[in-house]
Amino acid sequence: MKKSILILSAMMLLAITILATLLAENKSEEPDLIFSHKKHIQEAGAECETCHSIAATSTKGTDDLLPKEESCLGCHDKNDMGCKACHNSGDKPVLLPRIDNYAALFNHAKHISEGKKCLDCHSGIEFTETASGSHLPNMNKCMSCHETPENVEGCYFCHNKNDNLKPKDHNELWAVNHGSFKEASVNNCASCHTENYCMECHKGENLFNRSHPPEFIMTHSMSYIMKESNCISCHEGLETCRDCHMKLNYIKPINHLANWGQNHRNEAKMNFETCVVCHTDNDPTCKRCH
Amino acid sequence: MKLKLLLLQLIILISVTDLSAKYDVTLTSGVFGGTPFWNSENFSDDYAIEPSLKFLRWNNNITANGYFGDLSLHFSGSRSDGFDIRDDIPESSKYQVHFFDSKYNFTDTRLFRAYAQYKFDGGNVRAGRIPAFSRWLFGSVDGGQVSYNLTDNFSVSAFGGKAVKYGLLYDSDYDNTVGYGELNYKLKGFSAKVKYLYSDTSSKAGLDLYTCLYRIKISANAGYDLTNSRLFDGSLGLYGYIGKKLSLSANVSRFNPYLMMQGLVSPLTGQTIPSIETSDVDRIVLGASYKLFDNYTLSYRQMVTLRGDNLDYLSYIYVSHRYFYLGLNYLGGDSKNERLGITAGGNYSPFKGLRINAGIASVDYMMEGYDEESINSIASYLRFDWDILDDLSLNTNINYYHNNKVFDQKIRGGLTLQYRIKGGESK
Repeated sequence: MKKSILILSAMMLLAITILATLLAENKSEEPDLIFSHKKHIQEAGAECETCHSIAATSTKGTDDLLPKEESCLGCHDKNDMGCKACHNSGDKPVLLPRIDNYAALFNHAKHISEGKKCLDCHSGIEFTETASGSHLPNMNKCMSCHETPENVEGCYFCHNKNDNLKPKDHNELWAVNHGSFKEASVNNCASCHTENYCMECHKGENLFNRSHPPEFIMTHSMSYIMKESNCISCHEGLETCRDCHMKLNYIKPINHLANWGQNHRNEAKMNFETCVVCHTDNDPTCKRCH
Repeated sequence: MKLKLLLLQLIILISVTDLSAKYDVTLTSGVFGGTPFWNSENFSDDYAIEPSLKFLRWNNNITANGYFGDLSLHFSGSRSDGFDIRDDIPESSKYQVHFFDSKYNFTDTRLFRAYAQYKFDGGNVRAGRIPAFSRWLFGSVDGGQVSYNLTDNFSVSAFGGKAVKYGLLYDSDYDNTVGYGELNYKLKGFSAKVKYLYSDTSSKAGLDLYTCLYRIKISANAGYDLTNSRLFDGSLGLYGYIGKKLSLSANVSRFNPYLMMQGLVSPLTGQTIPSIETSDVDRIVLGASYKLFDNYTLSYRQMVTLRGDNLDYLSYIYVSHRYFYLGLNYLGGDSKNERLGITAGGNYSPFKGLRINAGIASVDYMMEGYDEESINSIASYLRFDWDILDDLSLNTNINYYHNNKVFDQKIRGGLTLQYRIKGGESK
């Protein structure tokens, strides 16, 4: 019964999360500009630099590299085509949003001078029918040539120091679910983090409380009993538990109090696998009474 | 012998990186005192550390990477030595470091990474000690790995060799050969992975999915234990945001503690205990964060865990600001172990390069049916992170535990000095 309620609650909450997000999403408006990269590149044989000539000298990611109307009029006759050929709104054209928040320190000129082709980074744009920013390269593309920096200072090779580089989804819950996203999203983590970054928390040394908060040393036994944490997602086997509880310090779990002798029966009924972390078959401690 | 081998590897790597087009080396040395932990591999029944023991640990880490065009070398390891500073031993032998073969054998040497990588068009190949992070394998593998992009959308990756726990140099009790392969598909915000793991103890197959629909990031994982013919793990994660202020997260997962009990050997009797069948654990974690104003954020996290007939829950609410946080958490449910916790802390930077973090966490245990109905413990911490120079930093961390009945010593903490060496052309 409880299980059914739990599953039902989970499904409802998940549905609410999805619906709320979807409902909040403003339906994207149709862009004013009608432009087909595919037609221009594949059919008309235009080169990227024909329209984006300024890219060859651009040294900042915030430079406006979108072509001006004059660039179009170099090939097209405005009077022959009419406004509606390029603008959905006819004679009231809307300026295409400028790209001003993309990798501020990116240097087009340096990359082009080193022999990079436009399609190396903007791959696929030659097949698109729109003029959207969806073919701006993501960081995975950058990191296919560049090494991921070992510390945050290396990020400022491309990003401004004042930029907030932390992705939105790295919120409080991220500590719980980042493993799930990491496993599913292939190599996305490696855009920012090296293996050493993972090691800092996962190697088992908690000297600076980075993997667990300071109080976790007091609260983890209860967390384990109630499965607040999925310990096994990091700690393979039970050696980690025994390191402290049996081998190093003989630390008693927090619930092993004065009348534990009377109460452990109920605990064992509920959480026997917790007991066997330390107490197993033929355990002398158990044999004293049993 | 192992130490010499490790040092030799270090010297070779540092020498080689000196000639490379680019290299970076990070050296970290630290001293920690208080409750001893994390050195079980050197444990012997006769030489366990006693609760009354005063204890210091000297911990040294090195991380080094060298790049020679398409070839690169990567190394990461640590060495930790225990200082036995008991009061009841002669003055002359106090503060001595106990290396191998000494009576108090508190040394610990770890080798996390030591591999060569060769990048070629569309992929790379690695050989040596390779870190292996996945849901199914945690630690390292002594062997080889290859990754290759078959097309723009498809890629494959595989590794195989001897599994190594926690970077141990050698563990005679642990002999596990593993082979892992995955096929990835990725297209514009969607990725799928089919994976298979073979090991001497079990084999598993699984599927991972990730996609982004509108503003919702969705990740799903499922793994099947082929050896025991049962679900090994599964999860569904969602993340979305409404406007610029509210973000929502949800995560549902199932796992089974039974699977980690396989082949369990009693530490007291040395005998393998029978398999223990336990219920699956279903866990739901829901989270919401709302940006109030300026740098204030209100966050709420609700976790519900179901195991057998036991339904337990944890509620956590907190306010955070750029400079401080204040939170309240309550854990309760059918397990009859209630916990109420308050956490508060903050950070301050008196000048560029120095960050001071401090906090306190009060925990109340309310256990039904016990003599002592409530236990209150307080943990507090003070941490300094100081970038003395561009490549030199000092980190200190002190924890103080008030009314802590678990540990014999109330204070634990330490400091580390980290030095980074970089050279060659940046790419």
